[in-house]
Amino acid sequence: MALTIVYFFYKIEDIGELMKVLSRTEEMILLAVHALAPNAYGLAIGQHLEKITGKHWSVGAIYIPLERLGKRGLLTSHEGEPTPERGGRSKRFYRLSPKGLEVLLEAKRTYEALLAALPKKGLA
Amino acid sequence: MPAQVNPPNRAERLLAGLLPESSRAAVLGDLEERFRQLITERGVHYARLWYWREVLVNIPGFSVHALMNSQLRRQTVNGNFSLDDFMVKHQTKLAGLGFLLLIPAFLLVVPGVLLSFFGKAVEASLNSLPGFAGLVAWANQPWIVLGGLALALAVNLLAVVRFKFERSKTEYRTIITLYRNPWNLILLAIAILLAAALFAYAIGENILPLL
Repeated sequence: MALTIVYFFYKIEDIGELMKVLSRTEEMILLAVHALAPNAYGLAIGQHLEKITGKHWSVGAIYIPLERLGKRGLLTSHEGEPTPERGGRSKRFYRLSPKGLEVLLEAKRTYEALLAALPKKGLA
Repeated sequence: MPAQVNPPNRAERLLAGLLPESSRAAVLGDLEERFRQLITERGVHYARLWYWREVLVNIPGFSVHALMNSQLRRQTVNGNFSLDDFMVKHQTKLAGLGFLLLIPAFLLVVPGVLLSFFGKAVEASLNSLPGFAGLVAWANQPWIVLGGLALALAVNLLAVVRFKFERSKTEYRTIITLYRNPWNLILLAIAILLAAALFAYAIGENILPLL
């Protein structure tokens, strides 16, 4: 019984993967990567989103979706040079892949179609 | 001067253990870069507190992420999970788990054995020890003691013994190999001693009164 529950829990992520639906966070991260290109790395993405949304973005809230998006082929990444202010560690720069750009454009079309139903000057 | 201050070592190690190899350097590097920015903007104490908060806040998320991407999960989802491979790769962790299970088993068996041999004479003394009152009640239940110890013994056995089933053209063979890890063998010895103590407990509790 316990093993079945664990297995089902493990499978949930795959079901999400099959549906290929982008979460709002993932969309925002993709947009930030696009806006910051070619200097989009974790900290810069977080600070960019913080400036726009007014909320703090923790390192996990950035890197976990980044890794997921990379696995789905929506982002590509490469390592930069190690720097002393990072304790000798290098930055990982992200870039939208053609597939990522396509997914974002599709999301834009969907939002535009849905938002067209909103009244222009608020509720009467 | 601020360049000489490093992020809290323990916090860094705590997070590093949960991060996947692929993004470990990038995440820790980002945190250190922001840490140094904060030292200049808000001072060392604020930066240290921020670092600890950032690590603690991210532990649950990275733990779930590590679990979802673990080897066991990948193997299970891909359908090629092999218990044998899993045991070989995670033998050290199993030994650690076995050791952890030995602690409650030990706490249950010792009062159980004392109670069975000395009966009411030691019950009052055990009950008066801090935290032992509840334990004595548990130790009076042979099935709880037996179950806990069997679990501890099984995990310790799995940590030191490797079972492999092989199928040749003519027969099935079971290969049992003992790992040559002295610490695991010591743990197994402790588990066996506890099992012997339980056996003594069972005799004291059930057989001696009949004689």
